[in-house]
Amino acid sequence: MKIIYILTLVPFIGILVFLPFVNKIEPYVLGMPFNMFWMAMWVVLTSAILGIMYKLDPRNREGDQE
Amino acid sequence: MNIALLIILAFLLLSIFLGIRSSKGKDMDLEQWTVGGRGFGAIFVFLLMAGEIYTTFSFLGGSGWAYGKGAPALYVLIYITLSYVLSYWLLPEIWRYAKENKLMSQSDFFVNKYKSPSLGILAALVGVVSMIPVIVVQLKGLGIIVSEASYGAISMSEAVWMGAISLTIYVMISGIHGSVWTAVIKDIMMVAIIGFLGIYLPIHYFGGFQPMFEAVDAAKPGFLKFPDQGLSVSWFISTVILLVFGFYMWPQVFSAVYSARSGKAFRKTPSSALYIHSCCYSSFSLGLQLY
Repeated sequence: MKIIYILTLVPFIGILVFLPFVNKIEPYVLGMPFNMFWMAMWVVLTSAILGIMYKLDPRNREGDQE
Repeated sequence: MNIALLIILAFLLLSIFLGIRSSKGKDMDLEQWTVGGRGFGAIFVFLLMAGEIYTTFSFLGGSGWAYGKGAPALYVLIYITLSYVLSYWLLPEIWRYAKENKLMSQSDFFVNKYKSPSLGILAALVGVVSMIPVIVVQLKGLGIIVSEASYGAISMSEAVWMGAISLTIYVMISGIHGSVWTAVIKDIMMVAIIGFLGIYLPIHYFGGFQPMFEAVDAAKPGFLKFPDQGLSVSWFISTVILLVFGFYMWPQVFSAVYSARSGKAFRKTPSSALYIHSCCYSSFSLGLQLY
């Protein structure tokens, strides 16, 4: 249970806390300026993190009723 | 009559048809009309929420921001992403409380939970007052899109009237079922069109994403970075946090939560919703390229 609390915070830290350090155009990654790539990467990562949270959360193994 | 006009009319008729048809065979009591009898599965809930979140703003406002202000427009991408993280914890609780107390609207929640009818009235008033500018902007956006797409054959005010009347008809008849079924067409079309434009235009006009961004950077240095003042990094962080906290307070989004069959839906869908979200993201590169 604890680990999914931490996972919840990871996207906030990854995007908002790191933003001052990634606000630059070079290097381009996948054709995007670096700050844009950083955010696009975090959208995909957040999606994966939410998927992991769903799998780890014991409440989701119960029936449809919960 | 040109081909664009035919396509617009075909989609209008299709959405009215689906909207009206969606309540067929259902006993339309108040619970069916407002919250779909609390019977929507994960996919329907996802489509409904996507329908409320991705509006004409995604076409016009989002790319307008990217076109006018550059990098700060990325806030749209991020506040929606982080709101999905919040929804994992928030929405199942709201859903459960609404189901236990048979709530129908957002103000019901405040009346019940805080035992205060006046708080409920306040929430309803704030909700209605905040909705008016949103609806005006949405209808205006609809008018612009339709009049442009029909090469001016349908004027802006005609488009607004047509949209508002057909919307009123199917919502009166089918309630939330109508919203869900028109959201089905809308979501599919939007993802297809934005995905296509976001990939095709940069490749067609610039030969790829990187050449496009390099061209923008050369034409307007600093446009792709957050400026030191104004729409700066600290503006971005505070704006995103504020928007994330308020995200689910929209009356139509809040009560859409009630329509789910189980609270599990809200823990299940955000992950896949974000994949779609990254598609809509490409509309921003589109806006940038128009610069």
